[in-house]
Amino acid sequence: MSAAAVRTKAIQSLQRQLLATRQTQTSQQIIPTGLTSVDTILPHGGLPTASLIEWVFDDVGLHAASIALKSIAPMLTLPGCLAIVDERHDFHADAARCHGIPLSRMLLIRPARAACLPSTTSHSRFVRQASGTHSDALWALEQTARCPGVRVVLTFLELASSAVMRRLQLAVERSGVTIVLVRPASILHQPSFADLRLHVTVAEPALAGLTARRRLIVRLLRSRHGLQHTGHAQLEVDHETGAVHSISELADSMPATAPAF
Amino acid sequence: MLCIRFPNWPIQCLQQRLRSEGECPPSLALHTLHTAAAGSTDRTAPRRASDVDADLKYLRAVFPTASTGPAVVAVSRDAWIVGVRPGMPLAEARSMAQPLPVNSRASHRQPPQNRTRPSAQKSDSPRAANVATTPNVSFHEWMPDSDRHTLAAVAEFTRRYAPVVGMDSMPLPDSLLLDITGCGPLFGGEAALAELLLRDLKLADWTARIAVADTIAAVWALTHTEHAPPEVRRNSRRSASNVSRRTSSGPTDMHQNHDLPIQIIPPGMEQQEISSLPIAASRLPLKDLQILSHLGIRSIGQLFSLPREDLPSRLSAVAVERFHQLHSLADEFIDPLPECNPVAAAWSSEYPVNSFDDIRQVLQHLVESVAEQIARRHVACSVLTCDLTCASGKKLPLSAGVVKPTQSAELMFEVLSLRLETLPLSEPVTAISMAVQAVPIPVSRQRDLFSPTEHIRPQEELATLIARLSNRMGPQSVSTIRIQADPRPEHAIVLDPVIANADSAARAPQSEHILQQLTESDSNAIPDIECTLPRPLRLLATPQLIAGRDDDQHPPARIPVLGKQKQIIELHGPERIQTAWWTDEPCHRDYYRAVTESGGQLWIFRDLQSGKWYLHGLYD
Repeated sequence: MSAAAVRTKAIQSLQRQLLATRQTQTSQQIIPTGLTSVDTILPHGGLPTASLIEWVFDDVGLHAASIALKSIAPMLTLPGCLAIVDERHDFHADAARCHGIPLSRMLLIRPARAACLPSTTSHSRFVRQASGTHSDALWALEQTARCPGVRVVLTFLELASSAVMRRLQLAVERSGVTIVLVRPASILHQPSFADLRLHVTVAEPALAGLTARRRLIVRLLRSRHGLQHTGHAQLEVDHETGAVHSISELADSMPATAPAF
Repeated sequence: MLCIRFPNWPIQCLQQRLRSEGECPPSLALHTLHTAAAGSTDRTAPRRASDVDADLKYLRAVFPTASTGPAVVAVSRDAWIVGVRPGMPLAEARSMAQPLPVNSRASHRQPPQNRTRPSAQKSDSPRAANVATTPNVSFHEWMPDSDRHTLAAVAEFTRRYAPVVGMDSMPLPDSLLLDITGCGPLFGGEAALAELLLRDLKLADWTARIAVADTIAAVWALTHTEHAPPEVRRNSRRSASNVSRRTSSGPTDMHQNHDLPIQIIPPGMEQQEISSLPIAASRLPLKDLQILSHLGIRSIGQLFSLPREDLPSRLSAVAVERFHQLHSLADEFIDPLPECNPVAAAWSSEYPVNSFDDIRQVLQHLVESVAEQIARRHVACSVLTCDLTCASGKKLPLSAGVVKPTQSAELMFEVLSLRLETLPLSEPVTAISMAVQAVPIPVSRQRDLFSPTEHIRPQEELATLIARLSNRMGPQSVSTIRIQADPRPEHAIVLDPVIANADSAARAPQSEHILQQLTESDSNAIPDIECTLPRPLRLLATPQLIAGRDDDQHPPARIPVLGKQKQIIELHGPERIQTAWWTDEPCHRDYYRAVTESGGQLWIFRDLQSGKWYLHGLYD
């Protein structure tokens, strides 16, 4: 067999494998977030389904999870529920309502705290339940990510190994579920398995709090499809209602050099 | 739904018991004992303390005399004629039943239970003759758990008419609820089923009334409405041909129909039929009935005409729920009684198993056995219960539930294996017994013309996920969320576990509804943003103390937040929440939105009573 024939055969084999892989994967849809300025910086103008999305925040209280919730609310027009894996047992669902999340679509998963688990015994043959809350939360997250009855999973995740993240990535590709991880800035130095990594910071900390509305900046740090837009999105939090709004940058104040007519 | 009501149930139970002993006097009265918990003396019946306590509490609310001493609970018709009434103190009832003859000293010395009537020929006076013709009343101790036990036995007797039979959920139950969905055609229709059932009950010497309608609230109201006191209501002797078959063609005489032994309400006519019934048939708590009585509300129809949104502020939560059930706005399900002949399997060995893998193999074998049984009986499993007997004789319970009743051995084994991992097992196991709570197979309805199973798949997948998570991490770990009208932030939401209780299979149809709500988009469910309050997305389960009493009414400049010190640069507020002073958890707080130097926002409050500052939430 000639070298060309061998090459052709290898290419055909790889094509078959690629086709088989594509068939097992769920096709992605792009769902606009409803926040115009955020959609502008996203690769296809919205969040992809069947993907892993990270929202990273600099400090607590920066509304990162609120923005994440607001951005996934349009996904709930599709069938499937919103699962919240709440390892810390402090997710307050009442606040999710002001971001357009219907509570009837929300499933709250709270792994039992370590103190509630049965105590381990000295009889080693029978000891199986040494898992703590964190590993239970990771297990629940992966199980939820593998369930096609779930549309989106949202969780606060600080510590996760590369193996865990890779497993989550494979799970969403298979099931079509979207995982939204809200993570602290301490993970920025870690490799990312996410399709999108967005960073939330506060705009001008010294001045931002002086008004009833608070401005936040969202930057796209990583995209699997490449960074098409290097700018940032500006958002505003209305403290009277708790709602997150998109704001547009003002036009340049310099006068036009040529008359319009 | 079909409801069988046994009028004057405690007396019917007593009559059955006395008949079995060979003697049943016509005049009977049941009374309580001196102590509160002494209502039960039946040592053979499985005593459920909470049920009996609820019965006694309800009884004391209805008959205040029962809380101060022994009182009459129920009387037969002949005893009523004598003048003995429920709620009467026992001493008064005895004197009423047996007025002492003027000239009869001998009978005065006899103990009350053994007194005999002075014969007519011994006395010549008209009063003595009157006394002689008065029937004797036999007083017996009331045993509420024995009554419940007997009702459960009758439920087993009626099980051939419906797979799901449950007891009335009210205190002092006197009726059975049967889910006869799909059972009518097997007996020639629902009317024929009810006739056959009533005939069988009469043959067994039970007096009963039956109602068939779409909701539990309607059948309960129809069977519990009568226009004469229950104790003197003559047992209906009408033939089954007198069955009321009301149609929507025109109104009928309610007073006549409510005395018929069988009433069948056509679908969709429940509210019209129960509107004219008295408010007492609505199953509202006594206190709420008193409130409504003060307001002049006498019938269910008048209750329906009240503005629905105002009810929560005037009535209790239970009453509001009952109202919604009457209005068919809330679902209600039968809590099924366990079968006498349950689906079960057992294993025991002389050689104990001493590893999880071996136990798992035994469980798999038992699961396959019960799966075969439930497939043969055409039922499904909602809860699997196991008892593991250790070498020392100690028994470890192990139970696993599923969201949607299933016949799948694989799913049953999977959830049981997950539950096994959390079992604190420390010694070898010698025997395992397994029982299944069987429920009807859920019916899947096609809602899409071209893809009959497309909408079912996500729900099935979600049901499996919830079963898996709940059994691995505990039933409380997976829940749905409901808003509660409570201004206290920590009480603003209620978590409802999807698999609430491993012992209850009543939620099976409810679970299907929950799954549908979770997976299907509903434009009406989207909340109105304008009506929500800005609350933090993270609310600490226990508020974290950040500063002690401060007379200046200002929080400290630096506060600890999750282990780190934060500088507060702004403070917005306050929002005063001062409520629930009538509860054990009163709320007297001034909430502030605090902005830190890094721009983060915190939700802190000052307790108005103690003056201390707490961190309660984070605007994440």
